[in-house]
Amino acid sequence: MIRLYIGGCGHGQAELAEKETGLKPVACTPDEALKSPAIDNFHLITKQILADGGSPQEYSRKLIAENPDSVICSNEIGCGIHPLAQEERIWREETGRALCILAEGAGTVTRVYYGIGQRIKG
Amino acid sequence: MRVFICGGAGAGKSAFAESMAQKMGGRLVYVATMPVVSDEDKAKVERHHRLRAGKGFTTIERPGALSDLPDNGETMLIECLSTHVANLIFNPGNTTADTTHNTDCLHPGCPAATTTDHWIKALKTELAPLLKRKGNTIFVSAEIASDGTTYSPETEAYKSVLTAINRYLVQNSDAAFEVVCGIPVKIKGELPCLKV
Repeated sequence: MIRLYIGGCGHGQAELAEKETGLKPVACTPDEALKSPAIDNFHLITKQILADGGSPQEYSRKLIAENPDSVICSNEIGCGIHPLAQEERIWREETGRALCILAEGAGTVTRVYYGIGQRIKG
Repeated sequence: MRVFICGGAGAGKSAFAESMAQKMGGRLVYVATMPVVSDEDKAKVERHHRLRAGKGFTTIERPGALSDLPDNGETMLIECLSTHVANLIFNPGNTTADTTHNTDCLHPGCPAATTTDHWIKALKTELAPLLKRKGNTIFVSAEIASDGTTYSPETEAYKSVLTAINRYLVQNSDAAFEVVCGIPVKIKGELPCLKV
């Protein structure tokens, strides 16, 4: 099952994920993430997908299908002021929706607050 | 029953709020605060229309003041407070002019509207009747102040006003939820209509 760790920038998602799962999350390209046991910075993967003209929401479904036992870490990026730049607005909206899809398919979702995990699913 | 729902961009606030309204039942009214100015706005509104289609909502467009809304026992979903506050502070043309300019005036041209305290007081006065409606009222707002960035004085004022209004609504609601990745996280209260 997918284990999703989310939190604000610098809250320690990857560290807690490694502590709880024994797997060290690593930064990946979108293709690498489809095979990686533990993925760090999912929010940067969605940025790359958008830059390549793809859909982060479709990618989330593909990730669930092709890497169903992965550990995924992401920053929450949607909790600030509405960005002035359109690409930034699209990035945070699409990342939010992609994370909703991952959370729906995940076995556990843990929100990390400065190293402390709050299990909000599973 | 009064419920406050908040969360970041794309977190699934709307879907959760709409589902809650349907579970509460009664005549469903959706109050849309977003003005449609750009193609991006239009696409966003159309997406919301698609999501609400077939769910039984009557939509009331209110890109200005939230006065004179129905109070006949309907279940009302108001979305989104962050847009409503931005409309008042940043888009003077979108609000209903109150030429009396009293201390609760929401008219952006009001000489008194120069401080965050003025906006907070005026917005509380505007929202107070909605907290006393006969039917259920669901307020949807947005988390906009957790990015750690310091913005221009105008934007910082907006953050101060909206966060004060969010606190006011949380304090005066029966239940409050933060939606995270589509998952409602209960902050306070119990809702018989929900199993969350």
